[in-house]
Amino acid sequence: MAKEIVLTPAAVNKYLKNILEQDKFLKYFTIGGEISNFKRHSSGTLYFSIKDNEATISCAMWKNNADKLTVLPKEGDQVELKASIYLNVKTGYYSLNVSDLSLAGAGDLYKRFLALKNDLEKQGYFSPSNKQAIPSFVKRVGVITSPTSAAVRDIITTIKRRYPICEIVVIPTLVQGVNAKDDIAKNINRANELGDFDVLIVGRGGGSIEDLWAFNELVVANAAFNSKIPIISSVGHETDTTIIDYIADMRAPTPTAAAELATPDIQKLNQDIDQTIKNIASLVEQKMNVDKIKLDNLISNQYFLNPILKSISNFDNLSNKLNQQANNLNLKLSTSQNKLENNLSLMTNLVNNKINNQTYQVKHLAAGLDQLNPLAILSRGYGVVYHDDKPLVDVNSVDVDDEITLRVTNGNIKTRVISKETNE
Amino acid sequence: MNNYEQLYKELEDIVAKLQSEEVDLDTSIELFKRGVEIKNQCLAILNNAQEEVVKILNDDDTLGDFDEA
Repeated sequence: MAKEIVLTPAAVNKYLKNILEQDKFLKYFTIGGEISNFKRHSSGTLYFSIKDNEATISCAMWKNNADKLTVLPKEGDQVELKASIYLNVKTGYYSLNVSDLSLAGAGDLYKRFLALKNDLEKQGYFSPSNKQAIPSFVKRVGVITSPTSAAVRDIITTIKRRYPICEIVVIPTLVQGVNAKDDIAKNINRANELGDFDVLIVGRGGGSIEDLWAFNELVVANAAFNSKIPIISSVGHETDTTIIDYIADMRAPTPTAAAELATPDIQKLNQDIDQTIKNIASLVEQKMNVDKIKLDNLISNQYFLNPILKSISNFDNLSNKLNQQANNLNLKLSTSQNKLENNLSLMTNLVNNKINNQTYQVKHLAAGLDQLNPLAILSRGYGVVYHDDKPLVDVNSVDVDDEITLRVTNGNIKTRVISKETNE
Repeated sequence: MNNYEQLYKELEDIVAKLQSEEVDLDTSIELFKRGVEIKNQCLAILNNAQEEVVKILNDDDTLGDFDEA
């Protein structure tokens, strides 16, 4: 009987490792299942398990492969892995060496996209009132994208063609892979800190939904939302819409379109200037025409045509003026005359009034006097008796046969006293 | 505001002035001359546009020439 061969544990493990690793079905295969125990080591290696209802297999994804991922899986995600078998000789445990990982179907990613979109929409990230205007004349454009991409070349070519007087600053940025979201966010913030950019173009060329995923991350959304510099986004093709497209101040379907939105077309501007100069010329011409018409009117005036007419007219004018002055003078004179007459008449009236007044008073006085006038008494048939040229008032002052004079209204009567008696 | 933009705005101002009634003929002609000057300056800016307008932002925030090849 042949001597029994005794194997060492290492030998068994190495043997198994050899079998497993040489097996053509296990060299590179696709395995689907659910992620659990997901950990990202500081070295960049991802450790997790893939499981179904019956079994679990440990997995490792080394940094060089992990860095290519844009979307990191999380606990419970359904994934598909590209993997090979790895057996640890020391422990005998085997695991999967994962070279690629994709979320099973776009469904899960789309759910994530919708969840973040709804969340940000509620917070007002997409509100039109938060959009900034792109300046009409940009001096400096920041381009946040991969410096080696077709996108950056399209942007540069387009801007140089349209508006060669503005400066383009390419800010080299990872736009794919697990670090892309942080790099994009960092460079948006960096451009804001540096300032002096009139607009930022943020984007990349086309790719799978996983390739574009960094532009659906919250950190990028926040950076874009907080940017004081207006942002034009251009991610993937026209049919791809990412979160940053909703937040950006303008969304362009392609990198070329982004460059067109960022800059004016200088050829068009020059045409505008040409047109403006023509407009100015025509405005000046209009003004000249107006002045020319005025000049024509002046020149065609009869005085220019016949200077004698002007002299005659001047003479006429002069005589008219003189007449006018004479009239004015007459008017003034007659006015003075009227005034004078008025004053005279006023004075006359005043004097007349006074005279009338005095006359009345005199008449009134005279009437009073009349009543006292002895002659007036005589006219009523009374007489005055004088004796020795003195009025006779005492019967005892005369004797019989004394001559006395009777004075009546129109003459004197000489008479003698015939008798006298004294009244009791 | 860059030079081109300033010139462009000045040109717009000239048109606005000319459209107002208050500008006399002499001033209009002066404005027109200035307009033509501006146009020539704009063309000069374009013709002298530098080819090295593309820069790259280095990690230390300095600017370098961008290699377009």
